[in-house]
Amino acid sequence: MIAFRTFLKSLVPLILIISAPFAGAHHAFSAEFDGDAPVELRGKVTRLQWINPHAWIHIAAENGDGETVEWMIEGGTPNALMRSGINRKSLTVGTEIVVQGYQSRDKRCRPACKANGRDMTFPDGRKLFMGSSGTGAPSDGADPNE
Amino acid sequence: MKKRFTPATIMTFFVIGLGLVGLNLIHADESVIPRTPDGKPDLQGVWANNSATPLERPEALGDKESLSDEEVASLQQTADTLFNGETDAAFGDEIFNAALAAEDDHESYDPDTGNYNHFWVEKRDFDNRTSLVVDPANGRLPEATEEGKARVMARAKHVREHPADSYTDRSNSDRCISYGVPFLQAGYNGYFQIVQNPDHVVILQEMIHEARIVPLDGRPHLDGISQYTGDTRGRWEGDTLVLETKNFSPKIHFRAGRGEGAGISHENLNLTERYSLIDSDTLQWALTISDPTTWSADWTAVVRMKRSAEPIFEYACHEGNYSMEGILAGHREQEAAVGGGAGE
Repeated sequence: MIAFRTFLKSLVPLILIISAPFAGAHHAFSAEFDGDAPVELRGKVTRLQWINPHAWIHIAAENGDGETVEWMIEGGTPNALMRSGINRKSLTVGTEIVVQGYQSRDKRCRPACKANGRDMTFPDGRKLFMGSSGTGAPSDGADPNE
Repeated sequence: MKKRFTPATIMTFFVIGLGLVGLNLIHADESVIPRTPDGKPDLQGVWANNSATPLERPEALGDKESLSDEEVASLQQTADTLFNGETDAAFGDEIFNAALAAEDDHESYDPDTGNYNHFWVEKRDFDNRTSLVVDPANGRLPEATEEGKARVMARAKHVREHPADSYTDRSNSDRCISYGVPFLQAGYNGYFQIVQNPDHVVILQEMIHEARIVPLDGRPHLDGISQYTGDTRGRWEGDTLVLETKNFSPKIHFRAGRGEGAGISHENLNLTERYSLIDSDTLQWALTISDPTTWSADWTAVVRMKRSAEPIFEYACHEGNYSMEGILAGHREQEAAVGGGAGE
């Protein structure tokens, strides 16, 4: 086994050269979001749209001036999560989450500001929908708080 | 008259048999597969394509056709550790290649903004195979023709110059029109439901709820009509359901291959699919791609799908496609910024 891992490590440069994606998500996030506009948002969930081609999580996040701003956070297709027993009831309204991502190229913020959910966690760092308590997701045993 | 098997006939069967073995096709124990009342294999149910096997064998693996059980376990463990929700989601061949490269982190094909977390996509299954492609025997696609490559370059040029002038510049998938047939992408709504009776078989593709209703009565293909999912006719050859599809619309394309060596096929695509049960919970889907204008030779890939207890979920794509508005509005704002406008 160790020999195989060593063999794999030796292949890294070659694999990185030849590995081009065969397929991808519904659309490239960079077509919709601005790589020069990173955001970190913290706020409570106000609505969950469990829809295709992408789920949208709405949060009310405070900006630096103490004002509350509505944001729509784009996630992935909900179908895979639904097969794991996770549905739109699994993240309840009022739950506080932290989002790291990039704001949309369109910054008019109508009907709400938009960002991609590059990284979505609870305030203590646990991932959403990853067996964390409070999400209704099945436990994977990794969270000692469950 | 009693049929006789001459030595020549027996040799022919033997050669065909060797060819099937060479194509990595597996056949079931006929006594264990479920059957319909008319005696045909019962293919009905929901089938999942979550295999991690890449379309083409990575060049780093040379001529290595299969992995040992220990190597499979090692790759699966690497993938499970890497794709634990922390990284960008990985699609298609990215999973296998990332595990093979023993990556410590994974950055998607979209590095400017990253992608969403990997927990949004399916867990992928590793097995002993190193490529879906079984013909050519090296596990790699035949070279694309100059015409096939030119289509790839033309598409890339158009996307560079007109990324989002209009919704018509975006892909059929961005526009929620179709992901096309065959849909080979594993782990991202790669689910299919099959319903059959003696006269027809229906294949419902979750991505994007495409349904092919295929007659099995020997009627000819359509004449002069093209469709996004082509025009499929089927027949049984023993316990194998064979589907032939042609008359694809020039508005849809099937792309395969890497980088500048990729090919794009349109209306000249002839697709042959062979569905056969390996056991009651494993469906083998062998597909042969034939388009001499795109690839220098026909090629065949074999996908093995697992029975799913979960239903097909609706993929109401257009209704929820806020992204299209976002993409177009974003590009208008960028144009206005370059031109000094207000961005309205």
